[in-house]
Amino acid sequence: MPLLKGSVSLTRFRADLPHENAASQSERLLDALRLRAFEPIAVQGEEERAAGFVELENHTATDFSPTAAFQGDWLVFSWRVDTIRVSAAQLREELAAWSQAFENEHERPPSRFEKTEAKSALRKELRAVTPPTTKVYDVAWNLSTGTLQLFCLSRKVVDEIQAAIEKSFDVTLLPRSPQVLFDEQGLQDAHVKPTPELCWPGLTSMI
Amino acid sequence: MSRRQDAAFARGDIGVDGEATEETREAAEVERARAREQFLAGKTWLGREFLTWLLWRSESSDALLEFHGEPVHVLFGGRLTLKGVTGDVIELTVKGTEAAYSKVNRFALEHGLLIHAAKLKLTLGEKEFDFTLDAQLLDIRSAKLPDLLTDDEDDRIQERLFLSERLGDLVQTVFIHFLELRRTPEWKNTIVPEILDWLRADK
Repeated sequence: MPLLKGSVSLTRFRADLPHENAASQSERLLDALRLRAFEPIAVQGEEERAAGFVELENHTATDFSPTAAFQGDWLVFSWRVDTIRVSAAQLREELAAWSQAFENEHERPPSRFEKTEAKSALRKELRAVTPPTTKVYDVAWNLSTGTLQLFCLSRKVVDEIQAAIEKSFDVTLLPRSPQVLFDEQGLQDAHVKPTPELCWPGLTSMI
Repeated sequence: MSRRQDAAFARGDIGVDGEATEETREAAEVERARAREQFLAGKTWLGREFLTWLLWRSESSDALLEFHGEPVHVLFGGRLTLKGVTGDVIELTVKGTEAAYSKVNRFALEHGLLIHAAKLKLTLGEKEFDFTLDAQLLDIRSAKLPDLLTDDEDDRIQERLFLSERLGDLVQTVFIHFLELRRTPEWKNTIVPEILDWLRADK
C-alpha cells in the first residue's frame, strides 16, 4: 500500500470531471466505483484472473462509503488484481504420474487425445486448490485540481487501470508525459526538434 | 592476430581480415535502429534533453526557479542511465555518489549519450524529495517523501497525498520551465554552447 507508507512510485494524469454540484458528484463517483468493483475468482470456475476497484484501506471491501473513499479533496481507492497461476512444473509432474498409472492399468501408453483430456482435468483440479496471488495498486484523484495519481509503473497495469477509470467515470485521462506537456504548451514539431549538438554531436543528422 | 582478436574471431564477431562480420554489423544496426525508435517515440528525446539540461543547471547554486514562493534546488544522486542513438555505445549506467558530476559522465554526454533516467534530490524550501525520474514518461520511481509533520493516523494519509502530489507538480513545473527555455533562441544561442563548454571543461 504505497500510499499509506514507504516509498512511492507513481504515474500522473490530468482528469477533469464535468462541473456539477458536490453532493451529486460524490454519489456519482461512488456509484462508478461500485459498478466496477472487484469480484473474487470463482473457485469452481474457469477464469484465472479477476480485477476491479476495492477500498484503499480494506482490499476485501467494495462498499465505497464516503468515509472510506474520500480523504479531503481526494477520492482514494485501489485496483485489485487476483491471479491464479497453475505451476507448469507441477502440472507436468501430475500428468507424468497419471500417464504412468494409465499405462499400468491399460498396458499401453495414453493416446494424444487421452493425454489432452487428462491434462485439462488435472489443470482444473490444480486450479481449484491453488490460492490466488493478489496485487493491489493505489489510486488518488484530487477532485479540485484534476490530478490523478496511479501508484504503479507497470505499463500493462497502468493501461488497464486507465481504461477502467475512463470507462467507469466517463472521463479522459491525459498523462503528464513529455509529449502531452509539449502539446499542451502549444509547441510544434516544426519549431522544436532534437538538438544536434547534444543528440548526435559531430554528425549532420541522426544516421 | 592479438588474443583479443582471436577471441573475437572465435565468436564470429570478426572475419580473417579483422573486420566486423556481416552479422555483427547487422546486429549493431538493428540495435541502433531500435534506439532511434525509442528516442523519437513520445518525445523521449525531449525528456533526455531535459534531464541533461537539469544536470548542467544543478552545478549552479542558484535556485532553478520558485515554486509557491519557495526556492527549488536540484542535485543528482548516485545513479544515472544514459542512452544514445549513434556510435558503438547506446546505453551506459554510471553509479557512485559523485558519478553524475564525474569526468566519465561528462565524456559520455559530450559524445551524444543523454540522460535517460536519474536519481535526483529536489529541495523545495526545507523539504527534500529523493526519487528517480525517467525521461520517457516523467514517471517518478521510488520516491522517498519528506518526514510527515502529523502524528494523527487519519491526517497522515492526507499529508502523504499532499506531498506526493506536490512532488509531481514540482517535476511538471520544472519541465515546463525547461520547455519555455527550449522554445526560445536563447536555447541554441546561449544555453547549448554553455552546456558544451561545461562538458569539455577540465580537459
